[in-house]
Amino acid sequence: MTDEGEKAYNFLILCSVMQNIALSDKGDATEAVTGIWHVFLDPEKTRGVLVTKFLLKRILQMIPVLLAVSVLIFAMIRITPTDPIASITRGKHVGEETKQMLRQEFHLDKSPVEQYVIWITDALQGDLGESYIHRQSVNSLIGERIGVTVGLVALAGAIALLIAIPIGVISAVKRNTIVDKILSVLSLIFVASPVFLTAILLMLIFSLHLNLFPSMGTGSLRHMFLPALALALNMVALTSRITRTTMIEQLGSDYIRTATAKGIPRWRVVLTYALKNALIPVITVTSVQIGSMLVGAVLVETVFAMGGLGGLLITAIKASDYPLVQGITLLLVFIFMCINLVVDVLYAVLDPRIRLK
Amino acid sequence: MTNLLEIRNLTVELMTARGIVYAISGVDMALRPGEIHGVVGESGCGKSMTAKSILRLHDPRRSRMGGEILFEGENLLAYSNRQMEKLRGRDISMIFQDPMTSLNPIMTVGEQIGEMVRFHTGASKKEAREKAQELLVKVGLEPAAKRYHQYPFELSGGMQQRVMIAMAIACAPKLLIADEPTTALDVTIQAQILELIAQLAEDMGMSVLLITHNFGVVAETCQRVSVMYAGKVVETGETRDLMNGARHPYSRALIESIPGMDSLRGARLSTIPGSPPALFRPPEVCMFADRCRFVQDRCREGYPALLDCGEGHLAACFRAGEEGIYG
Amino acid sequence: MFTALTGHKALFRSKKPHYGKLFTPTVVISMAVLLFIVVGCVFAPLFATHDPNVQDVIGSSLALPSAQHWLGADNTGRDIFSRLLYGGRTILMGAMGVVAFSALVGIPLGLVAGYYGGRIDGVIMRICDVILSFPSLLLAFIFVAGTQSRGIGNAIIALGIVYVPMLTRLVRSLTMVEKNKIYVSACVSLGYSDLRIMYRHILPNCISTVLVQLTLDVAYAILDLAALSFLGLGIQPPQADWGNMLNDGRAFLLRNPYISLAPGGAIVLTVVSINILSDGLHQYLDPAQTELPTFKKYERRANREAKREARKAKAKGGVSL
Repeated sequence: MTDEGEKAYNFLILCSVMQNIALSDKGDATEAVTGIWHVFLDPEKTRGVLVTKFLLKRILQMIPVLLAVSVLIFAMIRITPTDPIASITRGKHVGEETKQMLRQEFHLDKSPVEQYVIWITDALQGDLGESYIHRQSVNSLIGERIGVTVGLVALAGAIALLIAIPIGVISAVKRNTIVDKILSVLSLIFVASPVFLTAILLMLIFSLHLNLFPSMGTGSLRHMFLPALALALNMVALTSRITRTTMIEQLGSDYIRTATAKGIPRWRVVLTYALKNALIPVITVTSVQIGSMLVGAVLVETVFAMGGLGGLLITAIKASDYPLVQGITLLLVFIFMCINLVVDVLYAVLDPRIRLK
Repeated sequence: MTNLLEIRNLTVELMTARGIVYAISGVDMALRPGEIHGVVGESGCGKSMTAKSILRLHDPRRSRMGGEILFEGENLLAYSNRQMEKLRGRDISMIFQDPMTSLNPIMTVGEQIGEMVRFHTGASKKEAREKAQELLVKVGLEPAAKRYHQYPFELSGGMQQRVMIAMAIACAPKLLIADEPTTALDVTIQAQILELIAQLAEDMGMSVLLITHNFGVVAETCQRVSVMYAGKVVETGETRDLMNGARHPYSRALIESIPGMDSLRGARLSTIPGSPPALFRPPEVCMFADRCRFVQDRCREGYPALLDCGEGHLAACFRAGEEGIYG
Repeated sequence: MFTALTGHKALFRSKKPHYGKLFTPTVVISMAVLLFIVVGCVFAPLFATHDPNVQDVIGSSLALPSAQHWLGADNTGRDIFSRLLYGGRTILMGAMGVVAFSALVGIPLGLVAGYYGGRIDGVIMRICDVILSFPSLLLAFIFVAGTQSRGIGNAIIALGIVYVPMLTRLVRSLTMVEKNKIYVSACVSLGYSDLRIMYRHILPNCISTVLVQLTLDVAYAILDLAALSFLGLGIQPPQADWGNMLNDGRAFLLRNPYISLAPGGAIVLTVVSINILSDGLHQYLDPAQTELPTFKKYERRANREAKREARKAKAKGGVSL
């Protein structure tokens, strides 16, 4: 059975290698690498400065948004005024004195504004407070589980892009043929299938009936594969559709006609002209997709009983464990914003009109 | 003299949302080596279609071509896709109306020119770069080293069209197709671009097929001209002959509507009444009949064959032979 | 160039235009399926074979599909088919509620932001930015956590908040395009009030795009509501809904997969149908999207039609003679 897992893993690696080959021709692999440096080390000095400015601006824009987000999280979680002391004591009866002590410990004796200020100042210094129910620091709780979630999302994202972009390109090039029609029906189904259903089906088929993968837990790549696939399939469906649409749009544009008139071979016209231009809008959508994957991971983790952030968040929500909910949410938003920043940089790498203007 | 390019009875049908459009229905055209040949007509008459047909740039799933396009004696319509890819850009190259959208927005202009060289001559990257800079100088884009690294959006329309030209002449093609190369540009730039094309054609001994809707442009640059109307060539001949004595009433009307010839004398600019017909299965009659001043009954009964008026001057009009009808 | 061609009177055109049509076969099928689902769910009490909440642990726990239980029964012996109908009722109404909420808030906000621009626009857009910096459902999770009580009402508001900013942005961008058109200047010069211009003139001109988005949003809302219930944050048991039914069945996947698969299939079927419908609507409103037929297909069809016409003409001729 370990063999099967390894086979799947090797297949993944093979896919990535093949895609790299497909996306580049002789000189382009190095060009892709140097392309990124090209942004920073442009032959003309002024351009490098522009790019740095662009990056700095984006990072500075993140700060007020992040602050606003923290206020929103803090306020929304307290929308109905309740006394969190019940969740701290987990419903046990305790004396008034102990309650008073706990209130002091968790700053519940202070006004909401003061509580917020305390929380955010600590958070900015990297301390997310202490969980009500676990009586443990939020940092360590998250630290134990974040690896699973981030690994899951990263693996799913990689699988998704590896499958989605070739599918999108193929269905654009072969548009309206039987291949395209089959692919579009498949993606329609996967768009419509909620992640948790896909996860349950994969589990039912591949682990309960075929016994190829474990149905729960974490620890190895084999544990990760099915959950990641479940997460990925939804994104594959959406991303491949978008790739198809933008590819068709690009393939009909004037510069493609020029490239054809220049005598550039068709495969190169499709892969380096149309695809590179089509990737710009695709990447924008991908960032939103990764956002929904972060939440999708919560659902998939539940199905496969993986000890990730998802389970932690859901139990915290159900138990009104404010610090834990706040901490996880803030972290997820922060991760999402960082992904968006990376996407913006990629955007600038791909599109000179953005980085030079 | 053998013709470099000969188009025989070319037909192009296109699939559109409204049905099949018979965009070109039997075009004949011949291009001699080294000549600049103009193709004029109103928009929608099929002149750009003809140009694109030569390089087979129509979407194959939405178009159907018939007839023959002979380039140096070989029928391009019978070529395989691979053969076409090799021929495009190397033997025949093309520039387009709108340089703004015709260049790849995310590739530097230098790379776009150099790529052409690399693909057709197998030159190394370094050689391609040198050649590209050379070409940039040739089309008047200097300093070439700086221009090489610029992206299309950093250049003006005129400069972009120069880049297109540099790309088109990179492999010293025998034929350059210029599809309304100046329409999208400022008037002042138009003359410069035309001059550049004419100059390069002369220097390199290259034939040019110049598509335009402006007879004035033809008069200035072309040795010979074909006038197109409703998917057919209605008159063809030496530019001088045509300007002085067009035999087809449509060419006549086009020439009369050039501003500057009459308007200088304070006369009213003449126009052609009506608009060209839509081309859903055109009937086999003279399509210009409804707008023609000299129309007769037979014009509505059959299509006039091209009538030889001497010295390669052909006109598709029943009355082309009659002397002095325009007097 | 072809707009010039096609803009004129056509000499030849097939009698029935096949493009820009709303009722294509796929759209009709998906509409029928949707109608079937909606009618079944709305009139659940009429069609249900059992009371959705009555348990029968001894008699029919985990029963497989049979004449008595069409889709089997869950671990407490509740009839899945009946629960499916009642659950659909909850989730469809919930989804409509989410979309109605987002439309009621998002459209006016978008109109105001796009029409006035300036500071109002800035404030509205910043708020949208903040909400959009939460990855998908996360904000809905916190809202549910904050309100303490769970149920359909809170789930609707929670998702509504998440859906508003996207719609606001869409309406805003459409409004900004419309605002610069001449008819708006005409309205202004006629002295119409801003409110009238926004609702009577700008909105109708961009409603088609908004409508397509709203139908799609219904599909997304079904998925998201199901996700909330699946996690136990939405509709609470014993009230049935497709999300919590799916969750209920997880423990019994091997013994009776229908507990999970039936609501799962219902979700997929509904969402696919809505997607096709919205796609059809999009193609109908924007015919440029439609794919053209191949020459072969087109000519075959034209031939068929010509033959039919000829037959008709012949029949007619026979009568008149």
